[in-house]
Amino acid sequence: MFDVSKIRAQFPILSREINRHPLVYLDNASTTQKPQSVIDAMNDFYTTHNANIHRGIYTLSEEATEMYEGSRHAVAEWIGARSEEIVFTKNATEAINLFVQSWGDTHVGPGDEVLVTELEHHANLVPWQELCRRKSAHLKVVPIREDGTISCKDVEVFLTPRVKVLAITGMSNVLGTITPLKEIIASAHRNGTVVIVDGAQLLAHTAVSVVSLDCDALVFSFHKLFGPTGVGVLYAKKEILAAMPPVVYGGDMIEVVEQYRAHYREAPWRFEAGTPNISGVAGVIPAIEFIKKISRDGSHEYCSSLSAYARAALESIDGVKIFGPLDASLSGPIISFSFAGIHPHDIATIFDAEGIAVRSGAHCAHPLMRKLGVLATTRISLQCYNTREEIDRVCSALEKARVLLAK
Amino acid sequence: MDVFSEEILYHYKHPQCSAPLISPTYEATGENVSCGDMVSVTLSCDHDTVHDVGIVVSGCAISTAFGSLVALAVKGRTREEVLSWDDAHILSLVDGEVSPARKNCAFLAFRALRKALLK
Repeated sequence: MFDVSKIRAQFPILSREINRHPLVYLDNASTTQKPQSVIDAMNDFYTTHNANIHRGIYTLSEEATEMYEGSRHAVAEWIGARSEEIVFTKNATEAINLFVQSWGDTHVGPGDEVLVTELEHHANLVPWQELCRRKSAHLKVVPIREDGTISCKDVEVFLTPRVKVLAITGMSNVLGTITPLKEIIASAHRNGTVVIVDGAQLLAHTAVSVVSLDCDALVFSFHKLFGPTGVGVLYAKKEILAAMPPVVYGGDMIEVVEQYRAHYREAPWRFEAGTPNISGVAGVIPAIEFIKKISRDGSHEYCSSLSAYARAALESIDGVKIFGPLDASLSGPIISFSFAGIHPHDIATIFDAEGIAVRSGAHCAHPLMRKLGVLATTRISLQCYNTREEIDRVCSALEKARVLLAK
Repeated sequence: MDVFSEEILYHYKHPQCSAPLISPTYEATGENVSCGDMVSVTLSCDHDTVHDVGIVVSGCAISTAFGSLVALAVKGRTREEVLSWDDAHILSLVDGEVSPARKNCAFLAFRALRKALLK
């Protein structure tokens, strides 16, 4: 049974006051707050197990290595992958860049096409722009529909034999749009196109199985999943990773080093040069355990219902315009809106005075903003610890913004 | 807590010198890339003294209000005097503090104005 008060009690930061108001944290698409179990695990690592991994023949180092590789195994098990298919990076952005610089540089050539969508975060656009420039390849962009959605048919129009790779988000960080990944991936595969999914938002709200999706690669980051900052993941199918050369060289990724050449370890370790974020990875297992527990208790349904409540509440306010899917089932709990001609930064400032944290701006998606015909939006993004009372406070704060700033 | 001072609100709602000059001596545009706010500055100078100014801001309350405040501050000043102003001087045009996250909004108009005078 989902009990929001029990969930909230696990997050120490939620008892903070901001500007003499209880904190309302609604910037979860940016990063989620951390439960005590995650904070404790990181603290415990430094307090009792701290050592480097894969190196020392002593107890502490063995404990650290066991925790690190155990976390890799837990990530793999969580998304239905194998341990050797999980590469730890510092974030989802680095994971995409790794894939582009390794797989992209060896598989995309002059005249080839790279396909992305208009929904993409800069992290899933700019690395591909640069690849296309390096390789004299062509970047093609699947446009969104009027309501911010993309159908499989919209993608299929672009699937020519020259399309080597499709890079697509599973859930827009601006509009919340959920893309029909399974259908799109099957279609891309029939065309011989490799598919990499940006799961940064999707995994926070949906259980994902890479076996069921059949994506070739998937990136995400634990700081959006109740875990620490500095721990991203690149999942790629074993045969894909095997065909990828390393792009960062140094310690821990080598098998044998001679004076003038070196031999590299197998994947995933060949992609993890140098000392990784070991204390951050210590927070991965408690983060996954937390997500599994709340999912079993109905967190996804709770967030969907809260999102529907928020959309209805916002729409009832004169002057609010919500961008993105009107059909809530096509969207995750991420809502971007404009209000009464008031600049989103001013709304965010007024919200902050009320203790409410939201994101305002272009959300690392300049092309999408231009498509929507705005410079910026205000965005609320929900998580399992948010409540209807908090949404009501947002609505009251909007009315204050109207009184103060509407011309 | 006062989110915006009365002075900021007044200049936001009634921006002064906000019409572009027809035959400016100097002109420049500016943008805050992170939020897309834009400004257009036109200046008319007579013997290096700012005679008239037009600052058109398309942006938030802070950037609009500071466009108005800077326009009033610059009138009658010499080019050299205006170029000697620093960020602290711009912030001192109003009582009260501008939060760190909003300082770029406050500097938008002045940075374009400096660019115009340095042309």
